[in-house]
Amino acid sequence: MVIDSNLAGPQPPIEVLVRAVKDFLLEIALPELQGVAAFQARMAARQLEIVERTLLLSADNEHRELAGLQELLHSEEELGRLRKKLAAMIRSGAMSIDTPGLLEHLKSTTIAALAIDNPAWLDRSNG
Amino acid sequence: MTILEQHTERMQALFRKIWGPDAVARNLLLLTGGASKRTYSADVVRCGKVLPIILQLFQARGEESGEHDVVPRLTPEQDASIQTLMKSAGVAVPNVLYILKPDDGIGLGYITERISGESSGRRIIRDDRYSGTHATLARDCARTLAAIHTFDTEPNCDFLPYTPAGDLIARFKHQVDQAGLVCPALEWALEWLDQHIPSPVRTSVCHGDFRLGNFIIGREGLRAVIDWELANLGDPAQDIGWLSVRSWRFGGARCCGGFVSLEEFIEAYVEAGGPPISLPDVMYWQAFGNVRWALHCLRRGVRYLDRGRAVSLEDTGIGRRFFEPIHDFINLVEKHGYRQ
Repeated sequence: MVIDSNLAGPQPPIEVLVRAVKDFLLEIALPELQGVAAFQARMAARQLEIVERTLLLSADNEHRELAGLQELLHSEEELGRLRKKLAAMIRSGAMSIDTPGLLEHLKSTTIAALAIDNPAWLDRSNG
Repeated sequence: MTILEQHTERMQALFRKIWGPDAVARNLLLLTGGASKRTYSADVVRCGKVLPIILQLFQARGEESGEHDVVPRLTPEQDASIQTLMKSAGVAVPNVLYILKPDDGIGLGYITERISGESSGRRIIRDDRYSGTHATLARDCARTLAAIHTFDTEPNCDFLPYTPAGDLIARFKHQVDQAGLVCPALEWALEWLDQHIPSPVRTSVCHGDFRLGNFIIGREGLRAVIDWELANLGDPAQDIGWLSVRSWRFGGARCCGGFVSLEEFIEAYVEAGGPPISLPDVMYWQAFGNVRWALHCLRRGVRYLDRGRAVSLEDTGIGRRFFEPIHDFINLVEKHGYRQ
């Protein structure tokens, strides 16, 4: 969960603000709009859903990616450094693409990213 | 006078220059205003006759912060030339009517006849009106690609760029570094592509962007293939692989374009005289196409970093589609046990 440090009491937290804007776009603005503006309102609402899912899932995703990286690289360093290290090792050939567990790790981080960006893409399995 | 009106006046002057003093354009419409070109439609009336046209205006090179430096783009003259050559080979393309000259004063581009029909991939796949057209469309596309890919590249096509797959992959890596992207899954994909480059059965003229969105169709089938500015010389399997990228299926269930299975398509293609390409080669280029699309998403996604440019909702949306083709790439490689 995101910590919203400005919040001293029961004022609406960030996920409620996002939902309010999304509901406004879809239920109040969209019926009044046509053509490009209607298309963009739908697009805007979809992007707010990415914000909603980020608030819900990103901490957990990062936690799991970090655990996977630490296991693969036998290191306790932090996420950003390990991710960079893994990318560089694959690029340079220092880590073979056939390394056991590697593709599984990359697949699960990709699925986790899509669970935020566009979970509907995961529903259809005809990749 | 607004910029649009000035532009309109310059276009009318151009039409008078081409078609005579009484020519006048009606229904002048901006159809798309993409990053690399703007497409206008108009009905030119002269001597009481109506000529439906499309005017494409291209950005001069270097005006778009190197956005298209990965897959080389043709100049408008080359673009028009390849369409004329393809027309001579029986490929359905619009007739090129006029290539803009510098002293026309409205930029680079050309005018073609306007072919009516449906070009929205979403409607072609999802609209019931076209569901009966899918089988014909598949045969038409197979025949069209076979004709393009067996066109004699000598001596007329030496203006087309030839970029070996390995060089394209190197450019992808360069672009990843320039964008400052750290993505182990993409690095894995790039490395895999590097290690599995197939030997082409031949070097062919390739359309380079052969997919729904660049087809004009009617219920009777394919009417024209448009957008030739990515035409190149290369492995003919690339066009079929690109057509099979899931992002171009618009939700259609079939692998190839959303409207036909890959096996059926290759069969129709070879039957129509296409070179005997193999399923694994097409799958390689399908995987390659996924990475190519991911890189496009990356380019669009980092545009917000350009100072002085408004953040566009379309760019941020496409930027966030980056992991879709990465996911499809991994699935494809896993599904076909395509590892060394």
